[in-house]
Amino acid sequence: MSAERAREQLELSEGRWEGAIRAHAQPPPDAGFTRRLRALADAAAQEQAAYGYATEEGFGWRPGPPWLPPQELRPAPWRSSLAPAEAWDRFDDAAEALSRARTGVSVIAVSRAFGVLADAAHTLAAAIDDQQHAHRRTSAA
Amino acid sequence: MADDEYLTPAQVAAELHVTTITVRRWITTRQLTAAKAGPRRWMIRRSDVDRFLAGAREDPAAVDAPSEDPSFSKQLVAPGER
Repeated sequence: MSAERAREQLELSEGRWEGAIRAHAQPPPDAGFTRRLRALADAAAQEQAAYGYATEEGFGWRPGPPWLPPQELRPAPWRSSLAPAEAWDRFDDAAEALSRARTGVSVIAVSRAFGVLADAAHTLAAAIDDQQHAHRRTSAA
Repeated sequence: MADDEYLTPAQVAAELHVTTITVRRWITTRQLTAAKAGPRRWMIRRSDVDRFLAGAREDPAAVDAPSEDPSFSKQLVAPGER
């Protein structure tokens, strides 16, 4: 992998990541929330790989501003109706770690933070599905 | 104490799954703090590796206002640009 190839990977992954973030711009969540959350998780995993390549190719990191997640992904009263607090806490912690990594000095920290966010978003999406299935079973009984 | 443990560039490289060349580059570009322990020999504190992995900057007070801009790649510095 060359530095040029790493750049190409970053352009692709960054485009996907930005699209996934834009899809979460407006609260409250609708029926497509878990689909958008999984798209964000996949985009974050691709970012993890792309920044991993950038690390290997010797890219550095200039500290930037903290990252503020889009509206739909910020703490809100409706959250508890979708998933247990632990899943949301894990997601918030991952978002905070990614924000912190952007203010830092290392590309590998950014890569790792994207990986943690990908896991947390997948876990949250699964927790939402589980809670919805449980509600349906209760309603049907 | 775990924070006082010193690591060689090779040990750090093995832990982070990168080459020792990458670790030395982090040191020479001052991304990773290390102490010179002789000619061509560096020692790295465990706490500095942890700080590096957390992405901590030297001056936490100098953090900008939060931004919703999802672009992270603007912060990348290409090899040779530093």
